[in-house]
Formats: sequence, C-alpha cells, structure tokens
Amino acid sequence: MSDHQEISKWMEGFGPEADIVVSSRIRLARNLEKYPFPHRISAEQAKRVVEIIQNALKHSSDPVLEKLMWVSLEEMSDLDRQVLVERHIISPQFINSGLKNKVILMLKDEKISIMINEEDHLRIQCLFSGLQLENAWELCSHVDDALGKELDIAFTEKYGFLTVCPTNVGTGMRASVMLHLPALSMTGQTGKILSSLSQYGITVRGLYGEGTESQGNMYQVSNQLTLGKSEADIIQSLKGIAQKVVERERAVRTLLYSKNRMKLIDRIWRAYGVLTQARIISSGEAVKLLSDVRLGVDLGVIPKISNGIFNQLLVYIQPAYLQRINNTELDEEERDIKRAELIRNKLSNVYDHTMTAIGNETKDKINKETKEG
Amino acid sequence: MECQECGKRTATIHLAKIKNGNKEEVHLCEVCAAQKGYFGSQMLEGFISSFLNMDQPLKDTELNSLSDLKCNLCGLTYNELSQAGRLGCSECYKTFGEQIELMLRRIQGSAVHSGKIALRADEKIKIRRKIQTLRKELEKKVKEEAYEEAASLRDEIKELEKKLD
Ligand SMILES: [Zn+2]
Ligand SMILES: [Zn+2]
Repeated sequence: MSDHQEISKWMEGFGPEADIVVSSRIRLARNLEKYPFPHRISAEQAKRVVEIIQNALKHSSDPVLEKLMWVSLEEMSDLDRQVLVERHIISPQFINSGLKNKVILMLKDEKISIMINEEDHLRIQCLFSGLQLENAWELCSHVDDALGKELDIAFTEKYGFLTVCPTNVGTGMRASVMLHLPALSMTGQTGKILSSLSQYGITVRGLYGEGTESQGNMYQVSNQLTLGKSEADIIQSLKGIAQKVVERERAVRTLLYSKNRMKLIDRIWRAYGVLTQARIISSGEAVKLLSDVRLGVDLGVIPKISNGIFNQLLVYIQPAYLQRINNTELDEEERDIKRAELIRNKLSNVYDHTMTAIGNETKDKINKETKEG
Repeated sequence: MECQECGKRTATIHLAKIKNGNKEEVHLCEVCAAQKGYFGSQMLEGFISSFLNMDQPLKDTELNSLSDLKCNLCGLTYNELSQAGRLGCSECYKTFGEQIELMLRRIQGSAVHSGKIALRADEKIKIRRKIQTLRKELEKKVKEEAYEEAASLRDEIKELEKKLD
C-alpha cells in the first residue's frame, strides 16, 4: 500500500493552464478474448483473468510495467478503498460492484493506475496535472502496448477494442480534463456553455465522474464518442474545447474583476477568513470556499498559494482521507473539526511563507482598492 | 402492415421500445424511420437515454428468430442485450453482429474504428492481409498451370493460417 500522505503527481499543480485545468486524464477500456466480461464472469474465470494478467506482468520486461504495485482490493480496508476513490485512482463503481477478484495496479506517484475486473477486464488510467492530455495519452498508450504484447486483447479490425458498453467501443478511450470554473459559475453561464458542448461530442460530469454533481465549481469535461475517430483526433478536439472554455473563464474573470471588484474581493477575503479561522467546517462548505480563495489567488487578490495546495486540499478534506491521516474512525462532527484544523494549517503555513514575499504590486493593489471602495 | 406514421407505405422497420419496463412497438416505413432519426448520427444529444430505451430496428423476418439468439461463450440472450444494452463478452459482437452494428451507428454515429490497433491483433491483421494476397497469387498460378509454384504458395498459406489459431 502506498503512503497516502504522499502527494500524487496530478496534485502537484504544474503544467499548462494549471490554474484552471486541474488535471488531465486518459482512460482506456480493454478486455481479454475468450473470457466473459466482468458482469457475466464466474468467480473462477475472474480469478483466471487476474492470473493471466499477473503472468503477463511477470513475463514483461517493460520498465514501466515493472514498477507497478499490485494491490488486491479485497485485502484493503473499506477506508483505504475510499481513500483511493477520493484520490481519483479508482472509480466509485469499482469498489461498489459486487464482483470479486478486483485488483489495482499503480505507480507510486499514482500517475498510472490499472483496475482489473472493473466494468471491463482492464481499465488503464493515466492522470497528469494541468492540460497535458498528449502526455497522458503517450504514457497510457505505452502501458497499453506493453500489456498488449503479452495479452490477447479483444479487438476487431472493424470495431476496434471491444468493451462491455457500446459507448466505449473503438478506441476504448475516455479523455477528460478537470476544470475549475468559478467565474462562469458565478455568472450562471456554466449550464449553458457546458450543455452546448454536447454538439461537439463532449460531455460534462462532476468531480467524481459519472452521476456526480459539480463541487467547488469543478467540472469534468470528456469525449462522448469513442468510435470513428482516432485517439489523436479525439484528444485534439477535447484540448481545443478545453482551451476555449478556459479562455472564456478568463475573460469573465477579468470582466467580474473590473465590474464588481469590491464585491468580488470581499467575497474572496471572507472565504479566506473563514477557512483560516473556522473550527468546524463541512466538506461542502470547504470546497466552496476553497474555490473562492483559489480564484482570489489567480486574480492576485490573495498572495500566491500554489495550485498544488488547492489540489491536495480537494483530496485531503474528504472524509476517508481525514480518517486515514488521523489513523482513527471519526464521526461527522469530529471530521468537521479535523478538517477545519487541516485547512488552517495548510493555509497558514503558506501564508507565513508568502506574506513576507508579497509583491508590492499586490499590496498596492489591495490598498488602492480599499481606498477606492 | 402499414406504416403507422404515414399510413401509406409498408412498414419494414419494427421498433421494440422498452420504456419504464413496458414494451412498446412501433412500425414504420423506411422513409419515416429515417425522418425520425433512427439511423444516422443526429442523436448525439441525450443518446444515453435513447439508448436505454433501446429502439431496436428489426426486419420482419428477423423479429421472431432474434429472441432465440444467444451467445455461445457467455450465454447472453438477445432480450438481455436489449434491456441492459451491455455486451457479455467479445463473442457477443459476432453473435449479435447486426444489432450491434445498428446500435453503434446510433450511439457513436459510426461503426468503423480508425484508432490504434491492438498489438497482437496487429500481427493477425497483417497475417490475414498476407494470406489474402497469397490466395490471389495462388489463383493466378493455378490458371497459368504453374503447379509447382502453386504448391509452395499453398504451403505458405497453410503455415500462416496455423499462426492465426
Ligand atoms: Zn411511413
Ligand atoms: Zn457473449
């Protein structure tokens, strides 16, 4: 088991557009020939699938595959499973499905994770910070080829990679970016813009994927279609659309900042005030306020707090993770107390380091704005 | 049977919609079916929900025999496929070939893969293509009555076919 206090790669907050594009993900669905898919497989056969993949890994001399850690889901505590969901390493469906013989393969930095016996036999995922879809694809495709060398993967010339759900057939690829869109949300534009993306074959989901709601103005934008276009084309079109949405978000931020400056600054500092002073805070409130503070940092209202801190906090304030780092079960109220403590620590550490380093520009800006009222 | 939309042409497309657990039948001529968007890619938006409703175009003669279809490997039946919209194994793609073709056209707007090729399948595809060209050559040699060359080509094809198993 990896040490959960480590920062996974995607949380570092580097990469192009990392202020707005939190992360980029590529996920490939693959299945073995001659074995029923997980929802129709017997326990015995599912075990066999696991063994076949295990042997493939043993046999492979690929340097990336060699580094993968093997974790059986059944051997993990409920809490540890939940932590992996909160870290976006595995899907909620993976732990909730009644299937057995579920295994996770992952890199220590969590850039690669593979779920065995999820909806499909194999789900290969690569997760990067910022807008790095091409890099994520390159790594994912490498892992796919390394496994494909050792395994008979279900594939036909006509339909491509065969999957459980017809919505994944072909490339088997779901590319997605997580976007932080506070200005579009504040001005009530997200619904309209995001639903208009469906005509380009793009879907929008919440923070934890299918069927989840947006939290803290985070939206997961991904390709809807998997058949008929090449992976590179799908990625290019998603990237182009993500860039357009990011541009729009920036434009609306500028507009908000010039039209409703004092109101916006007030909102940002209030959020900062609550986060740095509160003693009890729910995850819902925290996520909402963190969004405001993150916006404040992007606008230069609040001294620089790294994207990484925000990305980490998105995960660290979740229920399972809080219990994991405190090494104890916590009820809701205890969690709200621990959460407030954790956020205070994270943000005040940053504040100590950066306060001395605030540019005069920012100080002047703040002073000027306060005077202007 | 008349088309229930225009009432003029003969209904050749029969849709078995499953809505809230109830089966609802729709009988349309090809013109009206096309107008309603049962073919083609105009159903991108809300495709998941329409997919779950499973408007499954069937031909007259197929209507009865389809419900008997069952996958040899995983045992998935046509009805299970219609209701859940999920395949049970890679063989299902052969067993329910025509239905899947239509399903993919509707859901994906296409039924032809143009992305990467599976590494091992790649070899097989290459072998299949090689066999195709060798067969053509073989025919030519037989016509030319060049039996010795034909025999060696036949051996080569046999060798390659072994690799496909
Ligand atoms: Zn008609
Ligand atoms: Zn099957």
